Amino acid sequence: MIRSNVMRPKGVMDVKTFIKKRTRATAAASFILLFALAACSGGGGKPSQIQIGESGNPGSETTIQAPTKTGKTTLVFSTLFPDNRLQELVNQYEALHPEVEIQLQAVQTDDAHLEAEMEKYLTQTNTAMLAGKGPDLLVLDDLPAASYVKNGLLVNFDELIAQDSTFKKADYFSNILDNAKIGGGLYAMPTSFFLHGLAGDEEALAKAGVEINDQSWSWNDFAVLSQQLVNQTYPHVIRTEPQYMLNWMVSDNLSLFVDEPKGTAKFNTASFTGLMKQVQDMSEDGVIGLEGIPYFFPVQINSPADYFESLKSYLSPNMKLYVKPHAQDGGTGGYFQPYRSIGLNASSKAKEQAWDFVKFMISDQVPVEPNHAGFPLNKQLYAQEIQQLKKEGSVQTAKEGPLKGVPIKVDPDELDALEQVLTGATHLVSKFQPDQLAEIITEQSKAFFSGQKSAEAVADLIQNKVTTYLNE
Amino acid sequence: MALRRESAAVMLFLAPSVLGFSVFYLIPFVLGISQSLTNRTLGGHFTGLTNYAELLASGSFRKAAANTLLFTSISVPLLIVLSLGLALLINKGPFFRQGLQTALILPLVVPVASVVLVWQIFVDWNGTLNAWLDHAGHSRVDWLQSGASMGVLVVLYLWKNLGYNLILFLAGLQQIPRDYYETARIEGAGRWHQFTRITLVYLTPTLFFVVLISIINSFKVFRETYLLAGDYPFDRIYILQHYMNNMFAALEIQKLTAAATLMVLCIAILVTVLLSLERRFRDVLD
Amino acid sequence: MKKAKRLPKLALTAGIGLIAALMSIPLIVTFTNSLMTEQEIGMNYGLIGQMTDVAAGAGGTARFVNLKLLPDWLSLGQYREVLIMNSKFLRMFWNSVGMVVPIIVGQTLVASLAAYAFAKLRFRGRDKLFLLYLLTMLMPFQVTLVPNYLVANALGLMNTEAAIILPGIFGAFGVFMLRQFMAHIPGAYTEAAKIDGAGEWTVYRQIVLPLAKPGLAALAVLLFVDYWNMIEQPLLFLEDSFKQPLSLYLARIAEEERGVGFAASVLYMTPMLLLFFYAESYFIQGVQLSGIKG
Repeated sequence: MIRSNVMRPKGVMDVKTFIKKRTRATAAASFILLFALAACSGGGGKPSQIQIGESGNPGSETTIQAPTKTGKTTLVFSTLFPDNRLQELVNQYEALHPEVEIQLQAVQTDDAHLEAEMEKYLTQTNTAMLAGKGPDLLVLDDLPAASYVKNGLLVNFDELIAQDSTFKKADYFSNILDNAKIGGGLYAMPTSFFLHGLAGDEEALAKAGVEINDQSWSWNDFAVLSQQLVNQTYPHVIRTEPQYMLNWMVSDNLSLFVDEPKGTAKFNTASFTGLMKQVQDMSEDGVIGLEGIPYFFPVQINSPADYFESLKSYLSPNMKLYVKPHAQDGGTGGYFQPYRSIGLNASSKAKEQAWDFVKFMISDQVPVEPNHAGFPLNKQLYAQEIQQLKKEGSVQTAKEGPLKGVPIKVDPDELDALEQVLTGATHLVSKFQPDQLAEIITEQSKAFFSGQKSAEAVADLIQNKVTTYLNE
Repeated sequence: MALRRESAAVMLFLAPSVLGFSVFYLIPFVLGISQSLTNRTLGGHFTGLTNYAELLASGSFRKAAANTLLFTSISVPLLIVLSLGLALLINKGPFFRQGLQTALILPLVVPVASVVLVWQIFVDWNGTLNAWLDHAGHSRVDWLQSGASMGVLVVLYLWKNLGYNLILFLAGLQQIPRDYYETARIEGAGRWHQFTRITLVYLTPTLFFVVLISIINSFKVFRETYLLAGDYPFDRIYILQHYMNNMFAALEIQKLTAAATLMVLCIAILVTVLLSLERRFRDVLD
Repeated sequence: MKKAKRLPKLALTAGIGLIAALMSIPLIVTFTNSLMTEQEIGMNYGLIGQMTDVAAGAGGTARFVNLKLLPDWLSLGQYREVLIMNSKFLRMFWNSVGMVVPIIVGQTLVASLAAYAFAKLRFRGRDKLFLLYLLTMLMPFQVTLVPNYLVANALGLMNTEAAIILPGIFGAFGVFMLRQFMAHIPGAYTEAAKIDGAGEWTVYRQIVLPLAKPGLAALAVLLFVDYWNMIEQPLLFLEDSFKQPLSLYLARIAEEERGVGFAASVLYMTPMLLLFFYAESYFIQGVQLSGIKG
């Protein structure tokens, strides 16, 4: 009551102008701040970072910007997992280039906290990248690289290669370079890669009178074949679980179920429940099984030495590496998974230096052992590994593995076969684009295959979730 | 004189808060919203309302918005009625008042990991609820992958936030002068009359606060729901938070910010209504 | 007379007690399970998330998660694991304390000042500015992640506790809440003081703050809860794992750590429980406005 009277005398004008000035000043201050922020995010700004601590402090993941006045170029190189090979490459490069300092940052964690640490790493890296900051170089294996590309956050190595006369494509597995592209360009440099395939018992297959053209076979073909094989030499045809088989079958007939541009899915159809029941039958007939020896094992081959060890580990004498079946319209060729894919941040201030280091990483200057994880992208490096394997004549196997440390003889013919598989790998397997479709199908179909829910109920759930995903 | 003093006081009282608020909240808020008008986060340019048009064309966004509206309009009023009722009952002074009160606000302190684990024990396919159903001769229910999921979400929200609102209401009730009730009683006003004319009226500012915080807290159960039911949960409980979280994971910042801006706009309408209601209360008080 | 009053009070106690008991189930489960051995936890809850053919699993009978409230063997093994074997836990606990306490003190102070201006002073654009405060609270955190990062980066706060404490101090929550509580205080109280020649500061300090005590106590409790449980902020701003607060440790527990998780949760909850017991008396038997006419 009293105050409202106080509010109205002629002093009001004073208050108004005062407040007006004040609000204007506040607004101005806010805008200046805004502007400053925008400027900082836009460019420059790096040396102004205030950081505490010694530069190059090992064991700390802190971004420490070396002061530029020393004339040293600093590259920040980020990887989720600590990696000795990368550390070795960094050390060697720094020894050759004293003017460059590379900070390799990794997350120290254990299995129990991996998921939580990964969430943190993802959030921090995604945010920093989007803010135009972040490391100069980063290992993209566990990052949504396809989204980075879409947002223009990575440098296209194709363009750097085109401008760089010292880069000779012939020195590398060109099939890998050509097929590791995402979004129409080479944004993730696959410094090395794994092979995915099926290890199969060639002799047992021949005995059953089955002929396999693994360059062109599809999962549908596989399903037909398996009827002839089941319960012959071996009880099962393939060691896997039905939900994965279902995914493979779906990927074979993807256009039947998903129309991505239109955003429609057709999983609540008789053809999908039919497919589920077909896989269920395969499981009941024994085509799919986890126990005992089957004709085929899905395998990932990590290195030349692993090629020998993996194929022998399944305790069948005559294993051969077959190309994994795939959809007819997918074209021929095997599957590869890039390992240690390197991305170059589009906001990096030292792109030239970073590119030079990337070239060093894929060069043949730092040799690897034949059992080192990942086939090198560099052919010369690979040739060195093979040379060493031949010289040694045998591959030592793991003591705790199925072969109990018994060495395996290296057969030069098999090495030729391996080279064929390596140069024939054209299908990219990666986590650059999270495969939501496969995740949904795998997760939901378990309830059907374990007899907990009907095919129709599961198909409805899948239909709803996929529709949601497609229309986001 | 008095006026000059008051305006100088406004400055002094507000300055620290406004300064910090501008830097840490207002600027990010404005930058966030401005993202929704561009085509790309880094080096993007102005595209007007394109993102909004795309957003409204997205079936999943519309579904998420409808689900959120449904969830909020069931759970928030329910929570407010329940917590206010409990606060009034507690105010009547039961035995072991403090112990009971503490028990009621305990869910607030349980860390996310335990919340998720305990709820899993109950609502999992092999969980305790299904064990009871099985015992009673019924078939199992997939609590999080069926029509029941919305119910689970509402119960989780009520359980988690009842204590929060209870604290607020108890503190709010504490501030109503006792003699108001005495005067009313002397004048022969009944219980209902006292409740509507005194309690509710004088609780208006608290109520306004509780409504808004309850809405904000309804977004916050997302982390638990996410850990329980994943990024593509059952259709019914796919809410805006799922949409926005998935958009962030896919780095679709433009769609994310546009969605958030629309949501904030809708709530802003509600806030303005509440603010004007509250202004009436102030007139009563002054 | 006395007996007649006791009966409804008993019924009241029983009614609230029932609700309280239901609400406490998750807490009781957490506590009792923290006293089990890791093996027992594994046996009881191994079936979670398994869509396996449980019916065929154990001789034809369906199998379920085994919710148990009484441990077979009373064991403090999990606590030992958390407190002694795991050096991280105690450090994270103190990290949390080191961030939450300054936030509570700072926000209560800054917010009470601003709330006084919003509730008791009149100036142009007051309601609009207040609306702005409210709107920022509604923005989902994902939207402001990148801008927040830019701000923290520009101020050189990345990977420091200040990146969490400073925004915490200036949060709109306290301003909003205290404004609402101060709005309760009848204008006549403050006007009377002003007529007696008291300045705004005296009014704020001597009249409004004491009367808003229940609100201040409630604010402190809720701030503690909110920031003790924070997940998003440290997730973004703190890279070093030795700076992490406890809430991140308990944001997600892997299956193999379920046992330890229960014990860690109990320890995690203790400070909040203590605060509840301490603060509750403030906002429950807080100041009464009786005696002064409104």
